[in-house]
Amino acid sequence: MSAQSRLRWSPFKRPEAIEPPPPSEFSHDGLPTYDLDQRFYPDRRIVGLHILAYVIPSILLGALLAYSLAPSIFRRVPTDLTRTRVLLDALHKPGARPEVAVLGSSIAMNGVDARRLRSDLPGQPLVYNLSSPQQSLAESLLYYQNLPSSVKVVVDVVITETLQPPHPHSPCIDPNTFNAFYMYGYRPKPSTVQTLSTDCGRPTHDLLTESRLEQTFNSRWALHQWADSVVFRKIQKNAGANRVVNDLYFPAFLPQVTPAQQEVQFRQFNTPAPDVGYSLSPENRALIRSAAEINARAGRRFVVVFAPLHPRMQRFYGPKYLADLQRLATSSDLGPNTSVVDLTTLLSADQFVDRLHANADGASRLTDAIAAGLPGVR
Amino acid sequence: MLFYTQTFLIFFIVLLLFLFAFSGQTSRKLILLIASWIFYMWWNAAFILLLLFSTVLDYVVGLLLGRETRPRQRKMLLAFSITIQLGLLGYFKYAGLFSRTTFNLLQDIGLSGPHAAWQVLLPVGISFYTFQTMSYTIDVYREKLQPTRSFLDFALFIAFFPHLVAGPIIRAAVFLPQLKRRIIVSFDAYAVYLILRGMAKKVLIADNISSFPNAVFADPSRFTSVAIWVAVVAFAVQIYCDFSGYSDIAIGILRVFGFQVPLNFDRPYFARSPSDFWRRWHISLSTWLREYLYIPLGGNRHGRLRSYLNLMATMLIGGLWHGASWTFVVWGGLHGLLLVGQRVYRDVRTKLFGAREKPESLVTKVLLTLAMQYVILITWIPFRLHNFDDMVTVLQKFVFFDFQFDLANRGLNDLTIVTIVLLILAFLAVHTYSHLTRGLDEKLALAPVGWQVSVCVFAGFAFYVLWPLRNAPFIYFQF
Repeated sequence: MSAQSRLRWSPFKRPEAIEPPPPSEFSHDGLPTYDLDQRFYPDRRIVGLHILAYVIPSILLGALLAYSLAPSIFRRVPTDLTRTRVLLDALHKPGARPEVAVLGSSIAMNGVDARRLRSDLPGQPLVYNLSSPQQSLAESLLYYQNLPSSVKVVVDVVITETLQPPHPHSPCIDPNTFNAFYMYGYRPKPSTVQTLSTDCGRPTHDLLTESRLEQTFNSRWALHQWADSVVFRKIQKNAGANRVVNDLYFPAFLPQVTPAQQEVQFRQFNTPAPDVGYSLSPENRALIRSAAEINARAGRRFVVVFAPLHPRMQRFYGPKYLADLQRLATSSDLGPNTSVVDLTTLLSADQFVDRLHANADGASRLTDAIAAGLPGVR
Repeated sequence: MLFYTQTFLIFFIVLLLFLFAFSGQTSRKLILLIASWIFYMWWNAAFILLLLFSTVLDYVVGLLLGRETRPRQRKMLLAFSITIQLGLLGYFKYAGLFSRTTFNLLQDIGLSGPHAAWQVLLPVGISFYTFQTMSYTIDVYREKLQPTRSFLDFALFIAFFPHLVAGPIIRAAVFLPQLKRRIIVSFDAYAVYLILRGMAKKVLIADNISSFPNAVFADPSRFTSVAIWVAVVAFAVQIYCDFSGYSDIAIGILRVFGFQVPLNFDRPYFARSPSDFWRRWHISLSTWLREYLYIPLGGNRHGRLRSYLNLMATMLIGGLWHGASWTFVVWGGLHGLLLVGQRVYRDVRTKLFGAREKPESLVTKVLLTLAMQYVILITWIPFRLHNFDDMVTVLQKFVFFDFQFDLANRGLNDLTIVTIVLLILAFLAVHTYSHLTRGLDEKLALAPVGWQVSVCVFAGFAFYVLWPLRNAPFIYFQF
């Protein structure tokens, strides 16, 4: 068999060899042309059925290897959601008997000191700060099914930004976040899926019911972040870097920014702005109601805390939105076990490290205010 | 229908099954044509009518040109065809731009009417197939190509799915003769290699690094020069990998059916001069522009000044071809200036020192390559940013480095800057190695089997890990 005839393969017939058309077919008399016949992809020696026989299987083998290693790699690589694993593990740890669970975003991480809250409360119940970066109301709802029976009070510190309506075609939980839950062993119960699907719609339902194959394949994002996580932890040398992942009490991690940096943050956020029509979205109203019902069914007290807003942020969101929050805080239709504490105007400008998060002084004040809002525990 | 989606895989498998079932030449052409039309209609079924109209028009004009011998009538036929084809392209691609510009100008002088600018949906691939069909008519007019009598052949030439929506722009003189040979189904390893290489460029590199330039260019005023530099370099790599990746896949698929087409990219980031860049970047477009625009304008046959003007006009139109935004004209204009500058330098040097050129030393080559790439990076800025204010901001921060290295609050999620820099470095390493060794494929072919298997396993692993979280369409689809 000649080398040329081995180049091509067809399951039915041996085809004729592919040759570029003769140069004459490209000639453009009198015009300067490229040597088109020289600029074709040439037939290299990487040809032949025997190569194909192991090229494709080897590639598939590599992909299969990556798939099978993905779950164990996921648990080992640091990501910006590693704290999710720490929180889920803490809830499953035998012997841990927290009575108060604080949920929320980085505002609660920086703003609620669980040890201080414990000492503020009668009987000094064990308090866990289970907040994590960008934890939304829907995400905190995922934790409810895993809370140990010892938990009697759930405090959810919600922030204005996570109370915005979700995009109509997007789930109300970030796909990477739910993927982290899944890869760290979390499986949503049918009741959790039902609640979140009803409140947030089809995209959230689709996300929560993705197959193991899909979730494993989607866990690639952690590997995409791997290099960044490692390098930036080295560069930043932030003493809070370990706390932000592992601390179950007061994982405050943000340093004070300079006034100039804070100004840049406000400018990026387009503040100050007039009332641009913010209002509490129906999805978030529904989620607050669902959270109240779930906690009531579990015999837990549920406290929604509207986190403090920097005075300039208050101006940005406008009076209508703040009035919405106030109205919800004073309404009594969430049931007897639920209370809403509106702390949006609690802190002054000098009690923030940046445009969103409380400093140590602000955190003390916020923690005390939350303790004061837990009459059922006192 | 993107080449690397499940939908395309199913489409391709079904197509192959049909081709295996029908071995006749005509039936295989017919199957490929119908498949190509289905491929096109997957995006927007209505625009198939436009494609059919362009096809029928130039098929008929080609036949008439073949019969007509009177120069005036031939010229009129050609003008008729070109006017209609460019008219359609102009309407669908540029009506929005011109109406928007007019609207803005009127508004600026306080004469705005009640109507806002037009919004015209751009038929995918119209820029590519319009140029292809024009190449046929012009070549027939120039009597460099016999008009084809087979409508099937001509329709397949225009609509063949691998090159329909984003090129390469295949000229009739290259493609039509190949339709006289048997249509085959041939999975030679080089076709597979090209397809996999294209997928690797698009999926592993372009799609993964696109998030960073997208985020930075969305609001460049927030970012320092470091981020701007990374974003510009990332975009340069992204657009090369995206477009040349598409070309590789297209050419690989064409090879599966037995078609040979010229290469469209030849390691453009090793160009040492503007003209060298255009011999390496989107070769099918630069060849088309030279053959059907620059030379008809007079080329370099009417004196130096005229040749400079012709070059500028060609590059300005080439820039506008890319999209309905004046920043593409700026991009084309910059390349035009570079080419004219090179021509002026060459003319002056020839006048002063004669035509003899000294061979370049390695150091000179490296310095010229780096300088050229710096200029190319600058030209990508107007190509990417369609807002003039943002474009100026990026240009300022790119050229006048601010020496601020604070990346502490850049966040994670999609902005994985370290991963992106690593991907850029990996690309540059492979690109450089490929340039120095005249092609990775040859090296791979000569490597021991164990090495080949290892590379393939690694490729499979990399494909799995780096497969982007979200599908992104090919950049050149919008052109």
